[in-house]
Amino acid sequence: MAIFGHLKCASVLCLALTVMLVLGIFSLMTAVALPNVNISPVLLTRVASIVLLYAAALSFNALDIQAIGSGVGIYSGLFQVSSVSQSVDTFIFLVGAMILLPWAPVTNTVMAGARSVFSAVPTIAEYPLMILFTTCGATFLVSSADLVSIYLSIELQSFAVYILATLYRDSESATSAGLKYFLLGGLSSALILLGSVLVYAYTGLTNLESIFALLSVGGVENLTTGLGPCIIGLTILVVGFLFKVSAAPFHNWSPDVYDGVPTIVTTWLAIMPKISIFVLLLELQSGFGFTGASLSLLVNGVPFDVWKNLLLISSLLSLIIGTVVGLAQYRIKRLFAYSTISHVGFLLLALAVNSEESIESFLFYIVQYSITNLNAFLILLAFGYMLYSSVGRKDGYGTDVQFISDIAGQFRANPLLGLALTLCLFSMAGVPPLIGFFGKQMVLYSATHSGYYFLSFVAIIVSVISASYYLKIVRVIHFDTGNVEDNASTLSQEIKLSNVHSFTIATLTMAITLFVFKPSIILNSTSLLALTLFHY
Amino acid sequence: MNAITILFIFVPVLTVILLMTNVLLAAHRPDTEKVTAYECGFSPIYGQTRAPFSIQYYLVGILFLIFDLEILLLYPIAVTLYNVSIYGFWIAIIFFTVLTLGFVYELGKGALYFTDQRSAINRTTIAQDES
Repeated sequence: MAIFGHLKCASVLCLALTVMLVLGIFSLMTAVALPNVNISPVLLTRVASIVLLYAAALSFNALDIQAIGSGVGIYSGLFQVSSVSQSVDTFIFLVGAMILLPWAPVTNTVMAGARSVFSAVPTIAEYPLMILFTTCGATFLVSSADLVSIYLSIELQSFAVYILATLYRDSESATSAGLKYFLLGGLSSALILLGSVLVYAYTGLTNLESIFALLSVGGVENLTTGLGPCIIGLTILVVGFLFKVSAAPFHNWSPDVYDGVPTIVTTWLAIMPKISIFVLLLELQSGFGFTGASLSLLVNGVPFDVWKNLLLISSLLSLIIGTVVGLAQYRIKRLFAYSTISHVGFLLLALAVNSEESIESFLFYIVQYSITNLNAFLILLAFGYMLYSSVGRKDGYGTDVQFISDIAGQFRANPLLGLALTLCLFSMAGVPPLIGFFGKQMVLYSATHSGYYFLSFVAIIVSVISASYYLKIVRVIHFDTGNVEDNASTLSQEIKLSNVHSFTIATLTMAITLFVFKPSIILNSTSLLALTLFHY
Repeated sequence: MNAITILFIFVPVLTVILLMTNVLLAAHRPDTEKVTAYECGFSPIYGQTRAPFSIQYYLVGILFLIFDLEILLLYPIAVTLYNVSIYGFWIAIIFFTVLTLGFVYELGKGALYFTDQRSAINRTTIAQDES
């Protein structure tokens, strides 16, 4: 009977999490809509941030349940809660709460600028609402265990992100980027749907566990008969997911979209959907492993692992394209988009290797990638506020930093911010004492252990090449002489960064830098999570 | 000859008869408004596609369409309410609560004002606070 108690406890806790989010959404929606309720958008954003923190605490609580180790099915098997999904939920909520913090301080000059330009401060009441919607989708996605629930949660996540992308609807670039994102996101959703339909049509199953059990029966020799179409369907499904995380052959939308939307939204776009979809891929893979199934075909009697090869090819292309094309960029957010693609290559490599070590490195890489990228974007936002909040850009980009040359010589004007961005970039490039180095090292170590020498070699070379474009930004910040002198904004006494914003940047920078002294917190949790996937 | 066969024969015959009656007996006095293609809401566009049109119309249209579709979900619950019992009833109530909240939102944002200055289209993105 104790086990039933535990199960009930687990479902109640997960329900509490959902109720927290949904109530947050409802109350914010009412508050935004009612004309007589006069709450400033900044306050709403803080409320949303607190909602996310509470949800993080709730999902962290659920980890204490014993039964959760092997996974508990809730909502009649549509969702499966496991320790991995709960920990990733916690992480998603924490990162989401941090993304909500960077606001320009609302001063009179800033508000005047906001009315004349269009988006000096994101004083849009819908912003926290959309954030809650997409977080809701993301957390559902990491724990979904059914084709139907996967599709519904991925749509919930994506629709809110499309709206986020076009949040500044007066901005031409944001609107066109949002439209592009919507169309290509719709295409990838269509692929996911097509894959699900093929699987359902040829097996009559939507529950992932049943599908895996059916696939574990044996090798498929023919693509058109038996379980063959099911394999095609699952492959198309994975291609749809790779589309959404902008892995290489399907990456073309991401630089345009990242560049077009306002930086505060790019932060969200570059981090959150990637975490949830990657963890979903991980859970699909471990589901295959758990039932002994594999997505493989028998070609002339030799088994050919479709899943692994798909991920490996995508990883190789991501690594190369993300690095080589990134060399030619002079717009800073496009450059970050390409750097993201190359990080996706590393993540896919770690995922495809699929040993205990590599899954550990995969989880760790997700954590370090999110922290580092979050910090980099927060610093970009901070630079934007410092430079443009009182003068405003002439070219209609609000307060966003657009070109690498915009932050030229900022090390002299704002030494601490410059230093923090430098640390972030070094961490992304993989310079030893920083957190990014350990991520790359663990991935490469596990890959060479399992005999993936070629891809490890490519990854090493590619990360050397990518260091050159990170170093280019570092050079521009430190040694180029920018237009610092004639910029009156640096001299005025007005506050340009809010306390919370600078506090977040400081904390994240410290976490990146000092990880080497206390690595056990993150490393222990990732290795435990990797072990639960293999040994339950 | 069963019912479905009769249906398959009867429906085309009736359709043809009605159409023929229309062509043969109806008065036929065409003018420009009558022979142009019908597009609801505004006059159809020839050649140039840069003619201005009302975004409010589309906004209201899309919102109407969504709510119309959602109301469609009321039909299955109406015929199966005895089967799904109290559980299904409360699920439906929750669903309609969410729907109502959505309606409150669109009403509050002024998306339904068609030509008014209060319409959501005319509002600037930045909230004008009074302080």
